[in-house]
Amino acid sequence: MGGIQRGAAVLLLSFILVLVPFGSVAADDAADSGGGTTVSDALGRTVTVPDDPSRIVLAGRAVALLANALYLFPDVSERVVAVGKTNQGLGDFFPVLDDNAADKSRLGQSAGAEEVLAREPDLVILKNYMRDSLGEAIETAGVPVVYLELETPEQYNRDVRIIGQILGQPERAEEVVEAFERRRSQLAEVTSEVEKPDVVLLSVSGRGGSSSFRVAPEGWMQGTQVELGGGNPIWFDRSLSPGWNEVQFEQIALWDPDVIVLVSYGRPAEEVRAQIESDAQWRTLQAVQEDRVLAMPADYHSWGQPDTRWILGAEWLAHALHAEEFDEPFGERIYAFFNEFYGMDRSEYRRSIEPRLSGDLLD
Amino acid sequence: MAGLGVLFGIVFAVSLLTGRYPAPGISSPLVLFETDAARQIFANLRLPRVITAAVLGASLAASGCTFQMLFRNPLVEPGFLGVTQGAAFGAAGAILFLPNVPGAVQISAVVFATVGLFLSYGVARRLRFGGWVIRMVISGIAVSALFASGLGILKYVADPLSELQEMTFWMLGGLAGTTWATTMMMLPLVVPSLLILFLLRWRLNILSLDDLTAHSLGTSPARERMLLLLAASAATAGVTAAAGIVGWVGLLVPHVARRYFGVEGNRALPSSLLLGAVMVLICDTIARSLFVYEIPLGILTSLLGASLFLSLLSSGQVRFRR
Amino acid sequence: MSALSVRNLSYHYQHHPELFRGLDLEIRPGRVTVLLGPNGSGKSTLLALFLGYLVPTGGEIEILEKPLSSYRRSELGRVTAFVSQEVYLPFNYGVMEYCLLGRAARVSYWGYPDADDRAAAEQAAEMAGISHLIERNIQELSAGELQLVSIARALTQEPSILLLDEPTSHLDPVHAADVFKLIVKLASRGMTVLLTTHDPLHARQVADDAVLMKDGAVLFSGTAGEGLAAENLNRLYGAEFVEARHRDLRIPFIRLD
Repeated sequence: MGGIQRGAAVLLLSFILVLVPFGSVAADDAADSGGGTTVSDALGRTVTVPDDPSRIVLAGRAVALLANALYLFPDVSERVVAVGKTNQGLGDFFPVLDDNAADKSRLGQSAGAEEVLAREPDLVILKNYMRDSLGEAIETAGVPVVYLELETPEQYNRDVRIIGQILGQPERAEEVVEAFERRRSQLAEVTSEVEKPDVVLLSVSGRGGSSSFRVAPEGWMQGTQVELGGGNPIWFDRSLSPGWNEVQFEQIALWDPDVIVLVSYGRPAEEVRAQIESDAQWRTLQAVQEDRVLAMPADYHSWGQPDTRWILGAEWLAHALHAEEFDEPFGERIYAFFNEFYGMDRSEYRRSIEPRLSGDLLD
Repeated sequence: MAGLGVLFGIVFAVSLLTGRYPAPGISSPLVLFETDAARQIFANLRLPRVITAAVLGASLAASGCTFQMLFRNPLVEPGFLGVTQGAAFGAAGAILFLPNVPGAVQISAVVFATVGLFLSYGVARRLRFGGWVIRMVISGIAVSALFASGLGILKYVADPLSELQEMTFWMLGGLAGTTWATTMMMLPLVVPSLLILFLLRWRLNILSLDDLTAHSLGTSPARERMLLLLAASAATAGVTAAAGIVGWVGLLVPHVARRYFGVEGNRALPSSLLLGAVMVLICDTIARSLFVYEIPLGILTSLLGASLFLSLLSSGQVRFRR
Repeated sequence: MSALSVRNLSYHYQHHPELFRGLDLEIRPGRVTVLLGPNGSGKSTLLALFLGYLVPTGGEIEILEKPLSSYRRSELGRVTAFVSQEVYLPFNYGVMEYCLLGRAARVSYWGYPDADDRAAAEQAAEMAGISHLIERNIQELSAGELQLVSIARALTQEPSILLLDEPTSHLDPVHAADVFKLIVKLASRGMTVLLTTHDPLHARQVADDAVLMKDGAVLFSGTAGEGLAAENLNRLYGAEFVEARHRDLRIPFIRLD
């Protein structure tokens, strides 16, 4: 080895040796500052978050679901500095949630750790599956990261309580959990007695003009919504893989359910229904013949997904399947949801939500 | 070879009788025409799908056979001249930028597959070393890599909930959602191409000789090769646009065909054609009938293809010199 | 009358200096002509020019007294045939299938060889003395057998002129002798044979005529007896050849001491 090379190697080594302690000091520093609150996040990790977080960043994928859960709490706006992409294709709900949305910096959905850290966050909130690709790098930099799951009703309750702890608003968390639970038990009470029609819930996505249809595996929110809504989710099958499962028309015809529920995230579900109803094969299905193809409503977000609107989706399905069991018109329930969960008054609801509604609104 | 034709006929017929409706598995023809729904499904969904599967397999295998002979290399795949990656890039681009435009994915896939082929060819012409085989291989690899990275970028910016899922499904390959429209869109490109390959099946042998010898036999290797390359790539592009990337058919089937029916083009090409159709028919019938959900076809062909290939290799039935 | 004639030929590969300039040459019909020269003297290039694979940058080539440029491709494939130095076939063809490729210029574009073509191939195989190999596959053959089979493939073209590029360069002496015997036999039946070789010893035995090439120019063109004399070879290779006598044949070789 030449002298120069050896010299360079020594220099590099000493450089690393000097830097390593710096790195750990920096990490310790952040963890120690200001005592903080200890929370246990959705991954079961114990995280020390600042007592009064004032620079929260929501990043990674599925930020819309995180934001919609976080903004269940009042006065969050002043604590949030940056959010990722929240528009799923039907419009951006975030400016409705946050009056100061225009001042927040927006991250791309594939923003990396450095870009997140550049916003100088004191707390980062990510979906559970973002740890490997993004979260760990942020943790290494000494910034606390809280992971939320938000996929089932139970996880919603748990994760809302985690947010309550973070924001120092456990009372509001209990209010929200109570609201979810109250609505859920009301539904269960009504739908436990009724005769349950066979339902297949199909997620539709366009594929060059034609559409492909997928069913959710057991345990996903869509199946829970159908069960709570008083339907029999006949598509459950042990062989389903843990993700959306593409099914072909022959299989749908084999099920030939009483009711088909169409969910679409990127475009209004009614468009898909119109396409289906003009198709000769589909017209052989009893659900199509008897006009029992339902389009899951959406405002900015479809209700057929693990968003806070999951409860609204379940309520809507119960009304659609068992109208006779309910007295008040369903439209009132939509307002009640946005009022109770997001504190909207009627004028704001009329201005921001009503014009956006699509799908079968049952009025 | 006649036996192969009979085998194809049987597999085709069984595929038509197999599906999820009216009951999972094989149904008797009587049941298939009993109700209006069953007739609708048979005529509008199953028939075009089975035909498309047969054409898909035949095209990939015949193109693979042609490519392997033209490049004098038993390891090349029909799409390696930038065709497959070009088609994938085109499809992903259409999913991202032209959602809900009927036929955009297919047309964009064909367009970019063609761009890939001509780019590979153009780069190869400018290279200043080696024979044409090595030049084409190198430029094909480079152009494919270019499209693959472009595809990576598109996937990165795609919405994971919708667009990315669709791209992934397309990349895995499959015939879910096939209708007569799919079949009809594919045929104008594929049928003439396959006809050219079939008619030139004997001349293909001459092009598998070195250039000077092929020339001395009184042929124009450069021109004939271009025609065959174009035809094989067009067939590949056409079926890739319709079905996504279905791997291993183009690589494996010609090996099996040469092994059992002879290496001469007059035997290898027709038997590749039939065997490819049989292989994809079997895989696709499993893909659409076995489970409630659709198994991506590309996964099945890769599974079957790679394991067959390994068993061929380990039994010493694939030979390489050099 | 000449089988092949070259007038004022010049050629250079793209972006390379001129390989030939003002080359004149005459190959007589029905004779064996050997083309000798050090590596890089342009022997193989000359064969490729004769086959029309390369196009001269100047001058003219005539085949059977007719300009090469006026031949159609398939027409040329019926007049001249070529055997390359080493045959590499990626797939394991049958010997018969391989020989039938020689019919390319006679089978229609979209067609397939018929019984006549098959008869021609069998006849060529017999001429080349490989009838016993006809049922075998290419990859089972020895290098010598493969070379004879390749000549049979060329004979299936029924050419008047046969060009061979170093046909014995990688064969053992016995197989090399087989190939040379076949060459003599073909010439005795009226075929024009032009071969390149690095083997003056065998060349002296089979050749009627010799062409000696050096640095892109013809050093000698005439009878083999004269051309392969030691003094010409010394001029060609810049080496010290001596001659041994066997009966009336003078055999050139290089003494190692």
